Amino acid sequence: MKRVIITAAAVALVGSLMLLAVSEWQNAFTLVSLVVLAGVLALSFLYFEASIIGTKQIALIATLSAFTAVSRIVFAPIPNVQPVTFLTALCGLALGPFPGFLVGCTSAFVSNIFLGQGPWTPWQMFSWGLIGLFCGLWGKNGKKPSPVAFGLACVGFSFLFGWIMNLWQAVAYLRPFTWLGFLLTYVTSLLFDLMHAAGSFLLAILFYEKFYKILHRYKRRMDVTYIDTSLPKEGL
Amino acid sequence: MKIQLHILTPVFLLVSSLFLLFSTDHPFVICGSILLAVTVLAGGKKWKQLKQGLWFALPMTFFMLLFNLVFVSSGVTELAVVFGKRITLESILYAFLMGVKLLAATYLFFMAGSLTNGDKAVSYCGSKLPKSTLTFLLIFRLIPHFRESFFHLKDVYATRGVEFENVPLREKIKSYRAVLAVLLEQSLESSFEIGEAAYTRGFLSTKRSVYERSRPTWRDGLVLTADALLLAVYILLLVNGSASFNLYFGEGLERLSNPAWILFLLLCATLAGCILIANRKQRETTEVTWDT
Repeated sequence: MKRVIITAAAVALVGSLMLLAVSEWQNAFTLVSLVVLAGVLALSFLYFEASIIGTKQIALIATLSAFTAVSRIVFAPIPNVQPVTFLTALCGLALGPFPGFLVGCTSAFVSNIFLGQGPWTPWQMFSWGLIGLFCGLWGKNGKKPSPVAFGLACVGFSFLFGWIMNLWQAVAYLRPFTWLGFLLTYVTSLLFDLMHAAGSFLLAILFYEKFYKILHRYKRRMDVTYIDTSLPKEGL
Repeated sequence: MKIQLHILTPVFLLVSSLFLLFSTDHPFVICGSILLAVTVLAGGKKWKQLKQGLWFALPMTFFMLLFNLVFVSSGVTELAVVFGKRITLESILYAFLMGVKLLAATYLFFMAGSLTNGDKAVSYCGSKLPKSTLTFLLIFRLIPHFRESFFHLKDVYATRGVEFENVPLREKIKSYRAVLAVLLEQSLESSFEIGEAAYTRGFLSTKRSVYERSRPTWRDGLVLTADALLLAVYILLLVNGSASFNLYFGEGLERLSNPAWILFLLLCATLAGCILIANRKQRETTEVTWDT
């Protein structure tokens, strides 16, 4: 299901981008991308409802989302330093792809209640959700990267976030749409993306080891193994 | 403004308004959306949100204006030639139009937010999406708790001799790192307790009962009818090609005088009026009983 969601989202985004070659379709792209994003987010929450995730996991996801949202609000005065990227990536790495996706989505939504909701909210939810999902897939086999490797991944994720947000801005508000204009939107945001990346890298170097240990410990506490008591108790 | 509408009505309103706004660049559609959102926000005395929207849209408009001035040469009406580069009226107007479009979208989100009653939303979503509702409820409860815990922990550490002020940045980061790690650990521990408590109370074991069942009333009917009328008129305009607009190619300019646009703007104003009427506080009637 998760793979279907990722593939569908990626195909829809790339396919819609291709439609831009015909500029009269630009408004259609804006609408279609909004519908696709809303659909992906709605599907993920429906999947959450149908999943076997219990109250303990829900409480854990909620706590991490609140922590992430608060950190974003605290860092809001510093231009484009977004702890959400680092924290979402860490949650994905330690807890898995779907909890990572949920933490990214919900923290974007909740922090925007304080910072301002707008047409950017679904895009931010999707981008941060995607970061959590990618990191979850990265750490799926219990891989624990070094702080520098994780920091560099956070740099990449920060740029990914900026690029997705640029895509939204360029397509929805750039008239006339030209590939040069599209490219220049990315160039002009470079400074902000760099600040985002530097902030995420610094946070990863400072907090990764300590926070990973904590999250990993709670992840282990969530895992329950049932022992079959009907088996003969040999050797007792 | 006291919220009287059903939880789904603002959702339908937001979806239909975003459909109108993002399906075209037509100035009348953008003006209509602004008219609708500003009237509702001003009617609810949401001055702070009106100001906040401007703060979001102004830098973006400035960026788009600068971008169009420097890089766009399309358009027919030439205003000046600077360093061999044509500056056209169309490129300036388009940048302004896109800025207003962003402002309209922001205001529409604010409008939907101002029309949503938090308690009713929780009650409704709790019956339909219990896990998501529990997640959001916990987040909202935990945010003030985090702030309190952070200052509490900082006090404890300061009492133990950890310095937070008047120390080099490196030391300061070290001190805050310890506090944040403890805060995270403590919060996760309490999240475990919350999870256990919810589990022992049988949460998610059966379908939750709805405490405050909210049913659509004539108010929702009024707003949704006005919205449907507006959508119908817009779809007719879209089908006959009046809604297509591209200033650079002069597309849609000859249809700007189409009287249907006046009807469209009137319907936007009517919808705003209907929302304000629907949200008017119910007159309280006092029943007087006489002792005999």
